[in-house]
Amino acid sequence: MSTKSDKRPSFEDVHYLLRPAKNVQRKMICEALARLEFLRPLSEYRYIGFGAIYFGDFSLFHRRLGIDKMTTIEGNLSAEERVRFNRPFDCIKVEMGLSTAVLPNLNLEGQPNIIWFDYDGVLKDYVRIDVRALAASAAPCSVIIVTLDARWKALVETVESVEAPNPEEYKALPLPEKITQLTGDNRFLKADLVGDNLTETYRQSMQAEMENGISERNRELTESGNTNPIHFKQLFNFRYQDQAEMMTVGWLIYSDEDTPKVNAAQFHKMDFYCDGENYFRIRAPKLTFHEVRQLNRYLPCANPTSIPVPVSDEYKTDYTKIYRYFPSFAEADI
Amino acid sequence: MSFPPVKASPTKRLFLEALTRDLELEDAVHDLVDNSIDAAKRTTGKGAFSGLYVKINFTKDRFKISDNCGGIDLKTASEVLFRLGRPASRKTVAGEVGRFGIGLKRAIFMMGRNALVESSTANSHFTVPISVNDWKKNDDGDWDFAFDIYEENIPVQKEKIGTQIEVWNLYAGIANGFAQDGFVGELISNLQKKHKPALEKGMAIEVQNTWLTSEPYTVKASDFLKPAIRQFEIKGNAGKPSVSIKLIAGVEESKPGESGWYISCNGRFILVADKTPKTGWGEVGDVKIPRMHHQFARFRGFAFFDCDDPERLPWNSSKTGVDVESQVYGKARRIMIETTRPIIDRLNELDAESDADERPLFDAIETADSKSVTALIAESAGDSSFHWVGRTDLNKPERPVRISYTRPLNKVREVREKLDVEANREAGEGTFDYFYEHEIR
Repeated sequence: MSTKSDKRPSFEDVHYLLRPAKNVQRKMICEALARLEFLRPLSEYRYIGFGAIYFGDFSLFHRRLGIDKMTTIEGNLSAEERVRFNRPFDCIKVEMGLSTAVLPNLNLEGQPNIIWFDYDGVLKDYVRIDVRALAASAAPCSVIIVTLDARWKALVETVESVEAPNPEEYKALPLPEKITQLTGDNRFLKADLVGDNLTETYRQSMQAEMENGISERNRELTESGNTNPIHFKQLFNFRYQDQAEMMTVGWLIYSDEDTPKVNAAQFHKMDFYCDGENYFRIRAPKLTFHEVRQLNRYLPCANPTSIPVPVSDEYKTDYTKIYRYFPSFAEADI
Repeated sequence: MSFPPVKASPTKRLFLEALTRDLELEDAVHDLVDNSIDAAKRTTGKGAFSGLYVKINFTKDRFKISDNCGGIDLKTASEVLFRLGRPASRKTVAGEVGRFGIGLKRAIFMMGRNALVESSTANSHFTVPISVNDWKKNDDGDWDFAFDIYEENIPVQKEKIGTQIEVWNLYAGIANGFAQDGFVGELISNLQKKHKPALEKGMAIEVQNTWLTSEPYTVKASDFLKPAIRQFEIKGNAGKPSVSIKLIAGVEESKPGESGWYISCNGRFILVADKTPKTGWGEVGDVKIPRMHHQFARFRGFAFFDCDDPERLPWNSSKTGVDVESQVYGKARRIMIETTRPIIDRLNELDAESDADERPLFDAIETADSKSVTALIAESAGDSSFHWVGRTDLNKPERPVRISYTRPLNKVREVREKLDVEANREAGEGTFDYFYEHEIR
């Protein structure tokens, strides 16, 4: 499912920027996380992510937010040496193993955490198991972020490549049943998954696990006589596409007594704040440095299409929405 | 103008019916064993049960259970034991199993028309004879039973301390139940499973003159293969004690009948080898793990719930199953699913390597020792995640591998005759050896 138009000139297809949309998203999330200072000192936070060998999120959050407690989870056991070698800072701990197996050892209750699980794939049952575990155990003021492959094609490829115990039987199953087995969520049996409905169903499926996890801990709190229940709110709902269409959803967990601080942080003032079904699409137009410099001289601007730069109105509008986060990549000797 | 009162009080007959309606004979026996084990806990605290026993004997005419687990004091006997339902003022003993205080009465009423309960502590002795027919006859406000012997502050010989319950004039259905083929075997095997922790602590249980043995539950453990262990507590409100939960999950020999989750409450297993949605298997709609398949026959998970207040434990009223609605169980079940999921992935990988020349996961499990789950939990310093890495250090060129194929019966028959063997497997082996001898060597 390509969004490319045949009429576009070919230079628009050249990826001379390195995953710019993801880069923009990372900076937006970083800016949002800076507001956590209203809730707890950022220095108390720990960042947990899937750093792989690039550690882009780790570098940014260490530099910009000063977070120095960091843990990367690496499921590919044979990559351990390379992962350790590529750690950009000494404060990054490496935990080998799948997230579902590693999470219990991380003492999520002990401190506020920022957890960003950038899964390399579609929604699977263990994603939901992780979300529920995080919702049920992460300390108040923690942020949980999940990134998934949002392509229908990826979902179909994933369910068709499942190595089922009874291959013949599995092959004959209708697609919705296969998706239900993969995700462990029967909402996929009858859901309309056409177009945006797929990612919205993913979001609802994870949201349901957030609710399950939160209500589990609230039951426990009530049983033990605690009158400070836990709430959660969605902060992010991004869609972006560098090569593949991706989605990122994020939630804040906080206790009842933190509510005034959460209000003071004014997350809703962020342009990209999405607390429900609505999503923020990041489109990174392919602009030259000269175009970027010229556009910037007129920004901020309420009416971007009036800016006298010879690029499409669509580009001007897209760029205006993200210009503060737009990456300026250049080849560099390091 | 006055009317006669409307008689709304339940009759004893209705009461008996309601009390025993859904009770299985075997569960009634389990309830009585629970009482003995609770008495042992009162006597020894958290210590070992060595020297203590429970003996069960029955014929088609008579049932008898006796123990030397400390006996029942007179106060408990007069205020609690024969009371129908347990007074709220009764203090529970830490870690009790018999939370409803009705096991004894229910078992007696279910089994027969006459019973004698006799018990001695170090300084007291009583007997209470029960004739259900006499008791039922008198359908008025008098629901009490009477002591026949009631001795306080007397010296009792050590060997005499304990409790025995005899029931005779058994109902026909009960007598048949005891006489049924397989009842003894079933009872023994279930007592072994459900009371494994008590047996492991040294309690001796004898059924029809057979001493029960306790093979500890095990999972495989080595440097290459470690079970997941999770330990946590769920606090109680307003001074209620915490529930302590210990989970261990891993892999063992491939045995479909033994795979699944085992759930114990205060030392009694209420679920054994469970593979149902109760323990997270194959449930759709909630977070789930896949349905049980043959390759998961190696999975073993154990959840030990312990609490000084048995009311907080997630068991149903007959202690034969888990109360999935309980808050304590909800959290535990989520964590059970979390610990199961990575093991399932590994078992799928193990299944996938079954036709491969190198089988590192298989080698890792084959060379690991089976270790008692209680010992593994006791040795563990905190939580640990499931760990199973393949062994590539074993060079085993002579490891047996399986070849399987099909050929037409008439030809296979000829081959069998030529090789002078009976089994198809031997025909396959013979032709392979022949080929190897003549074409390879």
